[in-house]
Amino acid sequence: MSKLKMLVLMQVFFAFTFVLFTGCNKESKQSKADVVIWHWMTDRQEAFESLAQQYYKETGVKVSFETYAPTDVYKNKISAAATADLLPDVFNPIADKKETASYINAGFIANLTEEMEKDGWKDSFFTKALTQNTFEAGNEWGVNPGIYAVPLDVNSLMVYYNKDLFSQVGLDPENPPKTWPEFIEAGKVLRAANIQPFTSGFGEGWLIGAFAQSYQWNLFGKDGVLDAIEGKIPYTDARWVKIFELFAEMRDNKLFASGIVTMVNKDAERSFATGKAAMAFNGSWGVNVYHSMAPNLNYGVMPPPALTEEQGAKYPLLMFGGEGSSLFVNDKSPNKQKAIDFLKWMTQIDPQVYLAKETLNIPSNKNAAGDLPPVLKVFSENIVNTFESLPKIESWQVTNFININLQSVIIGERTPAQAAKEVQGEKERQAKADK
Amino acid sequence: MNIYKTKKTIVDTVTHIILIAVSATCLFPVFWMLSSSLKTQDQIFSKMTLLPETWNWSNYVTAFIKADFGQYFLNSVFYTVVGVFFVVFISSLAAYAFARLDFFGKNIFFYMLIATLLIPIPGVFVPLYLLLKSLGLLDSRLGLLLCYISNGLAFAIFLLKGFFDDLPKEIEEAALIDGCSRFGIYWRIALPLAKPALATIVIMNSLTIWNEFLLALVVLQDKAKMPIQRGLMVFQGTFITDYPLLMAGLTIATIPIVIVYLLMQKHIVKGIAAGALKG
Repeated sequence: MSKLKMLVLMQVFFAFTFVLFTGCNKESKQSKADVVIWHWMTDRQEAFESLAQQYYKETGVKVSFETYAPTDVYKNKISAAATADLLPDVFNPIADKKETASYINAGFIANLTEEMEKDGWKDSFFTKALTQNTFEAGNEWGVNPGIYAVPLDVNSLMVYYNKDLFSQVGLDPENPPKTWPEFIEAGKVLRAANIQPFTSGFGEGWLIGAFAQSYQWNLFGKDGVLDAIEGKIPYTDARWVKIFELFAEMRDNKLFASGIVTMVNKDAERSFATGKAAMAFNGSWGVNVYHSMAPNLNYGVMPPPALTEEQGAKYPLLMFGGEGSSLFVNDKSPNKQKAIDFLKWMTQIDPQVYLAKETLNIPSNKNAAGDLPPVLKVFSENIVNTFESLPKIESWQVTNFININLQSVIIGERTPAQAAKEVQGEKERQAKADK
Repeated sequence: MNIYKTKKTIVDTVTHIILIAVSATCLFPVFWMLSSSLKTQDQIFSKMTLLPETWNWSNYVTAFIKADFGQYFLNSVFYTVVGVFFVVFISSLAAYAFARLDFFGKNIFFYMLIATLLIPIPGVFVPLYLLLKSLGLLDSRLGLLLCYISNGLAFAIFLLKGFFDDLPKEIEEAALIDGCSRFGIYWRIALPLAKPALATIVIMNSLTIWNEFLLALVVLQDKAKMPIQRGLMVFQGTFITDYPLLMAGLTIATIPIVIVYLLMQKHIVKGIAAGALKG
């Protein structure tokens, strides 16, 4: 009983301390920064802070980077702050175009077009870095045309390959497979040597979809891709069946790592980093990930192997990629101009080179890409080969069906023709629902 | 007799094997956390060994400094102790009132309170944020504490009401005859008898508040007011996680709550025994 009393007394003591604490401390540590930036990139905080210090020395403007992660929490904080009209000077709603448009229409995001036109700021970026947050005239969300975000980096998805494992089985590590038949042959050689040829986080639907989309561009070209979205070309078209067949071919030749259809990308990354798989389809962020997991890993990157003309390829193979992380300026902020000035400074060559080196990401400033580590340089050179921006996108339901059916083909649950038919069925259901 | 003994031995052996297996599955993640906290990042990914090749005790120092645990630790102790105190104090009073007093709309109030258990915290982020803004409590310790307290009340009241309902009324009536006030009965009789339930509430709320992170991140901006879980965030990047430091940080963050559990465990065991005799 005496122990309980002591516990109660202690808690009463803390309760009184609490009253004192909250009473005295409420306003004492408010942020005194000129520009406040809320972001979610915890692994870049040190580099951001270092740039903020440098900017303060140069201009006397104090910039504060505040991290809120993971992204789900960050998004919640942004939406709550927007509702209460308490957004910081710079932020990112981490939203699709439709949701971003709602922030713009509510007056929370500044149109940066005029600033971008000044001093050639806009021209310093990779074109693809701006497309995601550029709204064209007559867009369906009623947003004034313009550029609404400042990109910090860009990314794309390519195939990493382990040079040591390639050498071990007699494949030339400096000449990785360029075409699909070469890729299949290399896979067979690796499998014969008891090495898992290919891994990726195909359990995460978007990665398997991104890999397949490269072949959609390869076989259909931009107009064909659009026609499929608009329903003018059915998913039962022979070219779409061909795409499903590519996955069946990989399966039949035992190219896939075991369990690939349920594998999350983190596991696929570990598998490649530890030399358990010779090739991995992954994003440019993988450079940073592999450096962290296995600093001495000897690897290169190659575009997904293109189909040959005999296989029906009439168009160049393009890759998934474009804008990486971007920041938006609060249109209602009294520090709007200071925020824009800082972002303009942050995307100049020197800060971008610094960021690229510290965080191993591809800078959004194309002029800063010359001094990158070799693998990142290959990625940056291939940014021009990423998918073109389209005025329409496929519905998420159909996209989801494509991804699920690709997985079904890998596990042998459906034939390519059956998978194509399933997707077309969903496309027709969605078309009916839209009507 | 021999058959009985053999049967008992077999049953005991099987029971122990099952219990050992269950214990192992519970303890293995903790062991893995401790082991990983002493490895290097390279070792974690390349060598899946149970024990580290080299024991990097410096991970703990690095984690403590890098995560700024000093400040966050004090904040968490503060939020937990004060939060739990008010949850226990308010919920025990409310539960006693629901169990023993008659007032208008008692059942409606009670079921409305219980209904709040169905609402997940992320679902109330925006309204909470707006409420705190209008009260001028955003980015304040008081604002966060009020959220923690209100979050813990419903279940605590539910648990304690059940406990008070089962207490024999005769004891209280005897106390009333002896001149004890209603509050005196609550304080001197009902509350001490409810010690096992109180211990459960203390442990559950301590765990919840100590491990809470999402609400703090939404409500607070000033780093100096953040709880200990905020410190762990620095080890988890968008694409990369520094596992050795994260595990070292987790170990540091886990120790206080394990101590609370061990201290309160005795009361729970006592409570179970007391509960068994009560009926």
